[in-house]
Amino acid sequence: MNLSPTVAFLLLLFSATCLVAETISAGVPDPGEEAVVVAALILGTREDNPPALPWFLTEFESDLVKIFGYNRYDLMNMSEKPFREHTSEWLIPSNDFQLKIDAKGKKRLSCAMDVGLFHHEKRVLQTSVSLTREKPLFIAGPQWGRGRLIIVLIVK
Amino acid sequence: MKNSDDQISAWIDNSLDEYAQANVEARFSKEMLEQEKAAALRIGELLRTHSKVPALESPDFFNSQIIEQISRETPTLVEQRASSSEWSWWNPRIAWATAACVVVVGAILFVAFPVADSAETMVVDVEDFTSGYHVSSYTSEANRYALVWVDGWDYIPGDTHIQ
Repeated sequence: MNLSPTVAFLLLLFSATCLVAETISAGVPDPGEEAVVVAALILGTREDNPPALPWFLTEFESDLVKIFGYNRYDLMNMSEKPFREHTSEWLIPSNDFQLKIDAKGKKRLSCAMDVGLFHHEKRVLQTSVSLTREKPLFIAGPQWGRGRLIIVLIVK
Repeated sequence: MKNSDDQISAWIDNSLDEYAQANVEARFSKEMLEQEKAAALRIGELLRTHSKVPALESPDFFNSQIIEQISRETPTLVEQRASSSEWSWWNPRIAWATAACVVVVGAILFVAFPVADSAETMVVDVEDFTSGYHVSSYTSEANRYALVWVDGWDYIPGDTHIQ
């Protein structure tokens, strides 16, 4: 089949446009995709040869070192619930720490919520946050032994 | 085979061979053939006498006009090259297709990254409820993460089991 240069160029241009559109749209979460809120309890300590960080923290390794000063972060427990607007859920990453999530609104890229942190059933703080997917909220917990407990709240 | 008129014309012009000439003279009467020949000679004489071409008064002017018209209507070498192939970057179809693709990509970018939907992790508001605790918040550059720092926790000994 012989194509004229113009037709060949138009086909090439159309293909390139489709490729760009596909690449862009693939990187953006589907608005209909369900968001999941994850609360994790991690312990930060210092160690000479630390193991790899939990998967959801690898991107923030240098930030964690800068904030808390530790180089090892172990996941102790985690709890997750779907994000449903205008509902309340409890996330309990440990029996000692509980998070009450009041889901307010969901946009394409972020979730707005009120978060209450309870320690031994006593409310320690109340905060309103907007969380973008995969961009976490760190809450500095108490010191434990030679390290510190940290609560991580993240939207998947 | 020639028709009758052609045969008679050829007979008048004396361009037939002997066989064809005899054939024509056998088919048509001599009187009729002579009348046709006389008429043809008369018409030829009239044309020679009255069909003179008028003389051109300004031949140089008309020549220059004709040459100019020809040069206007004859495409230049560049135009010939451009028209010899359909391909050109300024082909209107190419321009329109490119503009359409730019619009499509722009629309996709606008839908994928709406300005109104801020993609930020941030602490909007924070308060501490229990006396003895002090709470402060921080949002990183480029809103990569947010931090709530709580001071006032009781120290937990390392041998305490965290449930």
